[in-house]
Amino acid sequence: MGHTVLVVDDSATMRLSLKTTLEMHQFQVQTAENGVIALDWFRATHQPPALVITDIHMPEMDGLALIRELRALPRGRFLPILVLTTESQEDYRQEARRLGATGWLIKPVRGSDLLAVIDRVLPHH
Amino acid sequence: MNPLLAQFVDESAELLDRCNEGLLRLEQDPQDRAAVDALFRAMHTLKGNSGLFDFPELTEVLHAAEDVMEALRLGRLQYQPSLGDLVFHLLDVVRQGVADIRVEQKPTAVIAQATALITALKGWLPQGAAEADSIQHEPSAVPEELQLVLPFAAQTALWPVFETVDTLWYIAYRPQPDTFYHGEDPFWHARRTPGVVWGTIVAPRSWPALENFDLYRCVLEFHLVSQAAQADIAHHFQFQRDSVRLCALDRWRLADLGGAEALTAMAGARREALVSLLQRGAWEEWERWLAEEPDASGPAAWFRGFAQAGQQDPDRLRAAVRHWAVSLGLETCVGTEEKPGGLPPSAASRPQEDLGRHDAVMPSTATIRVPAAKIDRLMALVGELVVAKNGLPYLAKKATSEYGAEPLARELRAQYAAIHRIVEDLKMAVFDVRMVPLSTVFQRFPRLVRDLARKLGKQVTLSVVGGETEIDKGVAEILAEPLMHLIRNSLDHGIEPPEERERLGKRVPAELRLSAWYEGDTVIVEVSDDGRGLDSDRIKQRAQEKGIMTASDLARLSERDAWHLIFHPGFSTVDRVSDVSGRGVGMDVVKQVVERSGGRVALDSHKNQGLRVRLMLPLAMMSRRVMVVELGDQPFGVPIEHIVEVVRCAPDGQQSLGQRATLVWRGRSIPLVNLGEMFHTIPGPRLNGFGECAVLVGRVDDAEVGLIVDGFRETVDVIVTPLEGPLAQLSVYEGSALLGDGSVLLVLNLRELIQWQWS
Repeated sequence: MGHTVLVVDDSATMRLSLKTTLEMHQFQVQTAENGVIALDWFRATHQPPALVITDIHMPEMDGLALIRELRALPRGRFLPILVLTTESQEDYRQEARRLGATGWLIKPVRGSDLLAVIDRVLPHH
Repeated sequence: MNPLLAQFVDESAELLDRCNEGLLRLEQDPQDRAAVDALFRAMHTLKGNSGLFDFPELTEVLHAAEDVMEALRLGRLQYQPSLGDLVFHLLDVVRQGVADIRVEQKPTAVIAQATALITALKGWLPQGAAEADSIQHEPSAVPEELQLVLPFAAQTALWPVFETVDTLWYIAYRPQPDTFYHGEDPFWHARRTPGVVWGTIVAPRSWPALENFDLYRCVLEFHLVSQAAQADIAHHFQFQRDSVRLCALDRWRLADLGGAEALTAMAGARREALVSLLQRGAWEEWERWLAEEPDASGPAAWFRGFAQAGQQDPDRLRAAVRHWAVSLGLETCVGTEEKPGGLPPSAASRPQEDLGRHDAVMPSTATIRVPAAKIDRLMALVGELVVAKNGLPYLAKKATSEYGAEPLARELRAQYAAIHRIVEDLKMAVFDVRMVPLSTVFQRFPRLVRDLARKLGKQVTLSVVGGETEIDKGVAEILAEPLMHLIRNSLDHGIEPPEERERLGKRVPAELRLSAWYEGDTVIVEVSDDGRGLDSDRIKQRAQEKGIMTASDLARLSERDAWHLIFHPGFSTVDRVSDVSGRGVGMDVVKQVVERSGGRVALDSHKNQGLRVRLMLPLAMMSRRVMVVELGDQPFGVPIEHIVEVVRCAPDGQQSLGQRATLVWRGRSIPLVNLGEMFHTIPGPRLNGFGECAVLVGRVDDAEVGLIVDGFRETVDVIVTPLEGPLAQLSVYEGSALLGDGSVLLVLNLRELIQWQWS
């Protein structure tokens, strides 16, 4: 059984897209619509994810706040976190890095790019 | 329709509804922040989703719309009803386009109107916003000069890589201290760098104190050399852009890093030959030169790689060699030639003449040759300075005791501390100048071994290890003779003739090893062979024959103690006197010479497996540290390395063993010497209130002795000079030294005292 990836995005299309690609490559995928739901699941789960991929703009709790919350949790401190941004959102990328994100994915995410980046940030993949 | 596209169509309808709703609220209240945010987010998601599919027009239109929403959100643009009209229209077109996808697999309505919509939307965008964005991302600081950490051996290993690529990349990756809190694994990441051909971890120059040490702060740097393309490396460090510095490393850059060092590391004659033939471009000779150099890791290997990598541009290669040679002072012809009015040197005396004008580079001289005598003089002066410096504490003491000027004494002591530090640094600096690699001593032995082995009909391979170990020139100079003795002994007595070795099932040729390495402040030089080893029975027998010891004394000797008999003057185990060694002046000379320089000799042997002789030598011969003890009112020095302990001894702690006084010390009886009695100082031992006297326990090799003294003073660094004239025969003194107050200190020779005590 592969690693679990937590995908947080308010768009069902984006979640489906990432989930499909990741599952094709033997990852288990847990999805959440926004930061609050993601955080609730993360706190409760017995199978913490090996990687979090989160969108930035989401209702309830956005991606930046989610990073901050995850980094404050003992088991989220060293977790690789990727943010989903668009090409033009350089300032969000830098802000996310500052808050503790590991890296970013640029939308639209191609399958090969997604796997290459995961390969770089997920040490024991 | 595939499930993802179906999901997109469904979600798009929902998102378009949300956009509509947000826009309506905004029309009601242009200041409604929540409405702007919702509108932007929905548009942003819509655009992001569209990018998953091959609908470029749809994505572009939504992208332009998102930019306008973002401008609204950031307050760069004020909502106006006419903008609302445009966006409502856009939403309608997109909705139609998405519906088209369901039927026609493409957003036909959007494709038709894309250009018009995009132009209209861009018209709303404030000017200059894009420019402002781009300025923000300019690199903020000029990168600091990158320090390449590339050891000599690594350089040698890199040369072959230039057969496939012209440029390597040197990568210095210094992860942010909080890298772990970014979910990063810097070590793993560095390891995974594409095309890595070399790497090292660079530790910080100073570590935080243990109590401040944070396990989760990364303080390490990773330095790598990669043969991958720059773009691939940049991509790998995409998220660590600010933590990584790159430096192109072509063959010439690499050459500059190690050339001078490689030349320096080479033995003199080889080096000059190399410089000369590289300069002349004599490639046939070059091949021959390489063939003579079996060493696969030393400077020759470096040059082999360099020549291989640099052959495409022989002129540049030659210029580089020349540059190093000049900077090392190996070649000085440029200076002569370019000196105005200088005599043109004759062609015969200057075979490298044509190269004098080869390049205009005039490197600064990195190395100068200095006659050894000048350095010796410098060393002697430093020695005197050490002694003169020791005058200050006396002065401080005098200031207090005679003039009662305690503040002045304090200042003197502070000044002393400062001068002491400088003198110590100076001493180390001069000391460093005097260091020479042991290869200067070792290099004569391969030839010696070859000749001797041939003469004695033995087959031996000599391996030399650690020639780069540096040692004080003075020590190196006196080392040649003892090493020669040891090697001769091994060849003559230790190593068996080939037929005997074959009979014993031992390897032919025999192995003789000469090795050197550091151990703390000591340099160990070891000569070992796999020959007969020491035969303690034969040694004892010989000692008895020579009258060195009586049979009953010999019977009590352990095997190890028996070995040490070979150091006895006049001892020789060979029955015939060969012309190689065995004149009875071998091992005792070795021991004397080594001990004179403050070193020690140790033996280890296994019968028929070989003998190992270790010379443990001090790194430097210079000032000695001695403890000053009192006998009556007279001070004497005892070398600190021989002092084990200082104890008080009650009268009942002393015993008599026959004629000798002994002291029970740590459960053992050791001889007790009453120095006062020996030197006839009056009165006898000074006793404390409990009738105890002070005893200094000293050790030389494995023998201990207790010395009854009257008192202890400080320890001082002194230069011990051997006694001269009639006094030179007083072997209980190692020599004399001048103290800071100008008085003379006699330094005791504990070894002699112990021997004298036993005889």
